[in-house]
Amino acid sequence: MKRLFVQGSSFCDIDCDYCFVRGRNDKARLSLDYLHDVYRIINNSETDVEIVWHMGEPLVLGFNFFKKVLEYIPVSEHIRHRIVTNGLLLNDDWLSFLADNCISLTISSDGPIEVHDRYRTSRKEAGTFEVVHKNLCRSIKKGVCDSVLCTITKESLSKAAQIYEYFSSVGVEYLGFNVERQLDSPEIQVLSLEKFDSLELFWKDLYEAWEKDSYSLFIREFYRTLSALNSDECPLQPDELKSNYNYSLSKNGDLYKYIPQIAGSDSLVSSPFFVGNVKNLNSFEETSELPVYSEMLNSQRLCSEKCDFYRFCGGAFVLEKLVENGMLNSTSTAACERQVIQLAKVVSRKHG
Amino acid sequence: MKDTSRIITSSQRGTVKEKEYLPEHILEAMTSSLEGKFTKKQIDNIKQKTLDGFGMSTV
Repeated sequence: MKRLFVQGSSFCDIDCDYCFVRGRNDKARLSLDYLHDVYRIINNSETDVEIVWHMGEPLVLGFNFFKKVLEYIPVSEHIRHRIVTNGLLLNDDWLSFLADNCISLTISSDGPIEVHDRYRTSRKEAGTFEVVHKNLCRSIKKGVCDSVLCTITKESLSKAAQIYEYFSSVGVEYLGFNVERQLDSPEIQVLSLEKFDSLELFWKDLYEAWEKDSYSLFIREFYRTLSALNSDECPLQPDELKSNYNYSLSKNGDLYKYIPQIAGSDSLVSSPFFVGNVKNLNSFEETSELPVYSEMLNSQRLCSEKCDFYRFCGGAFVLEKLVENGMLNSTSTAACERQVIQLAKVVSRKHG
Repeated sequence: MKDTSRIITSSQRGTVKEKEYLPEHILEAMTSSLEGKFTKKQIDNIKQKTLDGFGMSTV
């Protein structure tokens, strides 16, 4: 199994303050010619592939684009497509199209209106909650949306119980939380979370809301943390540290390896992860490990030796080490402190 | 006709058990939440991807 993250366009029809994607006003799109090459590469490769349309709003590419996508790269036993969307354009036609073609859907929502509309706004700074809420409910009812991703911002910190209640009430089955974080360079985004903000109270309130509800949602962070807490060794094998697993394709046909968010970032950080243009590649396997991979594994080893919380993340957060610490040869980051360590402390206290 | 292929019995749960160390009542509740929509094989895949999915914001 491999995952290929594809940036069909970096354009997005909304303008979330915390988004890390560059070029959100740029309407240039991936040339369909590249999809020929992607299909050739997939066919020459040895494992199944999940193609994740992400990093920009995929649905702005329109029906005709995705109809072509399915002609070039049809869904099969070995190939699946997933779209990660802000949910704004999900009308009945889209939902039928996605259902008919077995395309999985992940919707980004930050929860109830007072949290969601704080940062997930249009270019005119209007809230998007009402439309997203309506479309989220419809897509769950139709069985198309199988997961929701919620970004934790400063606005969320005191509202964990309300956020849980919201997602539970709309019928979400699988919920993941991302913590707002700096992923590329400071000037491209406004971060509401500051260095001293702790998520410990948020995780505690969220856990207690979940506990009160008899654990009836599948929450990604709690599943991971409880698995790690109750095992003798690290049960996690971060995708980004697996050999030949994660790839990402930017809209100019350039292929990157290991860290999906790298595609389209056009920065110095991305260059060590650059594989080549899909026009010049024949299979995923022909690309040998890049020099940066051994540094990544060394960094993982460092985490395993120095961090008491290693088993809760398996040495992930490679990009955060690069961005926050300026080097791979490091361990602690704000991202792992908030998303792993503070969470692990809360869950550990709950389970003695 | 009821689609019984999507119904999972307790004895079928836990193919990824070697990596599942959750208290049983919590594991049962979390798994149950997925059973209305996913097959057993899909749920096992979801669990595996959940454990390994650090680094990117998808399922």
